[in-house]
Amino acid sequence: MEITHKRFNRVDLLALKGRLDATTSPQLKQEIEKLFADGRYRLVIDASGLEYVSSPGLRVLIEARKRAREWKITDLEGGDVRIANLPPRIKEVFDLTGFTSLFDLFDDTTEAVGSF
Amino acid sequence: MLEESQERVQFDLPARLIYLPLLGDCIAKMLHSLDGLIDPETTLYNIQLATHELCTNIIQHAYQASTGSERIEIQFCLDRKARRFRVNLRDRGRQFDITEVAEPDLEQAQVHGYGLFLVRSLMDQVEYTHKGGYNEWQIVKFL
Repeated sequence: MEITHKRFNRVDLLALKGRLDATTSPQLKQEIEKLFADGRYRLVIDASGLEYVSSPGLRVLIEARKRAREWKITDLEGGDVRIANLPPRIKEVFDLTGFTSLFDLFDDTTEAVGSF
Repeated sequence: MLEESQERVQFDLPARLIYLPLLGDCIAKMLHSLDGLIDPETTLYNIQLATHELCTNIIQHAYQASTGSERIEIQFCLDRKARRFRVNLRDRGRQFDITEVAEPDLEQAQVHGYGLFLVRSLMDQVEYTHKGGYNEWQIVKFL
């Protein structure tokens, strides 16, 4: 899996390309850990290049979101992991299983980055 | 004995994650030979994902204390007449207690327990048995 990182003033954008599964999820986890260690808790995942998400990948995203949301500046402002451009096939699985309710999903990265 | 309408493919693979993409390719080849699927790409994705989840579970949990020599036997069977795709998996790892696996509580956004939940959501039938020292999974998708 390829991960491309773009740093904005308040938000970090991680664009994922390939398969997010048991083999590649540690790579994403490591990338997110680096951002958290740097005090960066506002993340957008650009999922447009994802071919596949299995449960170990999902676990990394859920865990990251939980941790990011624990970081708060005020009651109204804090960290989060938001997902943009989830491919239709993966979105269907998210809808079917109820995973859609676990994340804030956006149709494009600009909207997702701007939502923070 | 296979009927003419059935096609069967078998693998006997080392229990390692690097071999799992082979299975997805095989499922794709088999399904692409079947006409009249309503949403072929979604059906393919769902069977690939369910198979991948179970194999990952076997590698990471059933064979947790790995010696490097563990194997997974996999059989795919496409029945064109019954319009059914069946996956059978067999391993000699730790016995699995299917009753102990609770469905994840999505309200709580828990971190574990999504693998089997996905398999159950994506496939039409999911069966597990333990006999003769083997764990045996059978999952079925009606096409």
